[in-house]
Amino acid sequence: MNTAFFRKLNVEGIICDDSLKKVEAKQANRLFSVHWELKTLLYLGVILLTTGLGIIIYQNIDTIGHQAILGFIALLCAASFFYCVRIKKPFSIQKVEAPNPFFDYVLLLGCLSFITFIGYLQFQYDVFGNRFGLASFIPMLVLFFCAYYFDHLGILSLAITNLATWLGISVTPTRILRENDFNSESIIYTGLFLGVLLIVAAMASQKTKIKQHFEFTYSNFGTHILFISCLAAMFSFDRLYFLWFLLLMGICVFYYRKAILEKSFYYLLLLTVYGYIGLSYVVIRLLFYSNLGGDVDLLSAGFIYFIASAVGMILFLITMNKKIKAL
Amino acid sequence: MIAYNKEWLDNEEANVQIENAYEDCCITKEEKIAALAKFPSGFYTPNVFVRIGLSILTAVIIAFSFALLTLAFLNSALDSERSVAVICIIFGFLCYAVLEWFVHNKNHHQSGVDDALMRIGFILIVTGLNFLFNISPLGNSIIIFLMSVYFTLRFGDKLMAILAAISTLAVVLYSLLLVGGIAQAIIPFALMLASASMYFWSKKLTKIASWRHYKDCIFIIGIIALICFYLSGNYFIVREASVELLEMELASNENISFAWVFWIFTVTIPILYIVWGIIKKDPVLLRTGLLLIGGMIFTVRYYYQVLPIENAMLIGGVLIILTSYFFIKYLKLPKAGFTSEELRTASGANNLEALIIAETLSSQQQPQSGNQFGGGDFGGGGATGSY
Repeated sequence: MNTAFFRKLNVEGIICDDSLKKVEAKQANRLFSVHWELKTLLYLGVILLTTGLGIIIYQNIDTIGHQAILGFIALLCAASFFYCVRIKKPFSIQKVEAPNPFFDYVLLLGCLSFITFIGYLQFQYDVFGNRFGLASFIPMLVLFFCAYYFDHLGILSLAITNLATWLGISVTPTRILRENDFNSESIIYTGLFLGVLLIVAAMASQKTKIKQHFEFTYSNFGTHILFISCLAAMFSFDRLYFLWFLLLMGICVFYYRKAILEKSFYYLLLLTVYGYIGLSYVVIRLLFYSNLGGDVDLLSAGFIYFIASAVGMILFLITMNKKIKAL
Repeated sequence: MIAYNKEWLDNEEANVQIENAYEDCCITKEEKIAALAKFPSGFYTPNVFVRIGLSILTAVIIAFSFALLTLAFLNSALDSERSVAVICIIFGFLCYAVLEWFVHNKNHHQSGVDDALMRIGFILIVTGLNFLFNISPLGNSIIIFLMSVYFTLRFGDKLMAILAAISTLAVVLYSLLLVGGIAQAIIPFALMLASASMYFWSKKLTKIASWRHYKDCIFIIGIIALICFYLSGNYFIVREASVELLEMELASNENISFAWVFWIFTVTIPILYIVWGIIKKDPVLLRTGLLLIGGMIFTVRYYYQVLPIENAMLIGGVLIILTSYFFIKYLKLPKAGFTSEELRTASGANNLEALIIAETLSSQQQPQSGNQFGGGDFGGGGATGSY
């Protein structure tokens, strides 16, 4: 901070003497925070250590044996959770701060080693057999529980990803999964369902005030999944594409209201980009199915559409920017 | 030279200062509002997400206008490649003209529209020139250098400043290559000299008031200069570049001349950056140094596999965790002006004040309760005056 600048403000009577003194004190006692440098180093160290360990175990798997490795992973997982449970602050439905800088990392280590443990069991010993759903359902439950119990946004994201995996596996018959032929229809419907589910979860955490700060994570995942599934449905269900387009516009309106309600520029950008992709698809499709003229004419018409529509979208964004700022 | 209203630029800087002071809890909210009202700015600078959207849409407009124009010309009987090149250049200049118009009449400043126009216009002109003429690497570096310097001075754009810094070094490199003979042998040293001068020049410019509007550009040029200084002296880069550019034929066990000098540079420069950054309390030097340690480790391991990779990772990981763990604990209470705590946290905005109090207390050697290092260890703590 520029002390001379604040001295001038003080002379002009805009800030009081007390505030000026604070600025000067801060300037004199300049502290250099190496917080993020140290955190990054810590993170790097954890990655190096775990990768190195992984490679060593992989290379010596014959001499170590699977039971020993499983035991080690279980031990690591148990130790991490033991540490977390011991030092955690009491549970609350509000946001709970981590008790120290290492807590988040240890908890992440515990959860990741738990997932590894389940995966290893399934891969090596086929514990769950063909019930793939169960193999992803159990980690998902544990992850959701940890996210809420220890208040960790990163683990919540992991849990949501796991939820998607579980749903994806459950809707896809095992036979198709084995033959690596994903049935796009059911995947799209699952995506739509998951998107709506996550948005409902977001609204619920907002309304019930249980871990209110989880709202954005839920909503963010839900928004992208819903928009992408809707676009995918529009592209693949050829005959009914216009119905899907109407649905897309409906979602856009929903997010338009949300953006205004929360003064969120982020949702504004999302609805503009996804909505624009959908709109352009419909226009270009109509244009090329219409057979109105030669190729060059159609091409030029398409280009002109993009120029005009982009200008329109720019005007929309500029107006909205003004509108949200004024709220 | 700068295209923007200078008074507004100064006012924006004042606003940043005021916001910072408010976030550090130095001034009250009423004072902030009163002070902000004194420094109005008429720039059109939307929110960052709107900026992203505007730049994407501007790029869409430019791309399809370009396509439309090309389509019209391709139908005529003109030589197609040359005409596309000419359209590129004309279109580039058109982008620049529209950019000037937006900046002058609509007061756009970092709005997304200007970002897209500037960058795409730049690319179009350079591409068009290359289509039209057969330009040597040296010629290209000079063109890019001239244009990026102009755009940096005119619009204070950070990306253009980075291009300007890199193209300066490219001009040095290619002209020495062209001269040949002894000049080729001193290329690494010449580049190091150029980067070092660029760094010190940027340090000097930050203190000159008339350059204040280019503060961000100068800052970023300093970082680029530090990185390029290291890269020019790095053994791996020098060796590979000698093979590539000088067409030197090296067997895998053969060495470049002055190899030991480059090995010294490779190993010592990152450490020097870190030490210097700690002494000067300069976060840029410290962070660049930490980053370049990675480059150093990569270079050494590329030529000397002392340990198998997994053992190296394991030992390195343990060492890094222990060091960072030690420093996080050790600097929990500030020492010598350093702290491992965040200065601004979302919940405790008063963190800074608490930390300053903690530091002044520790330098007076008052007994600290609940501190495992004990009061006696604070002998040199808080000795900020010595710097």
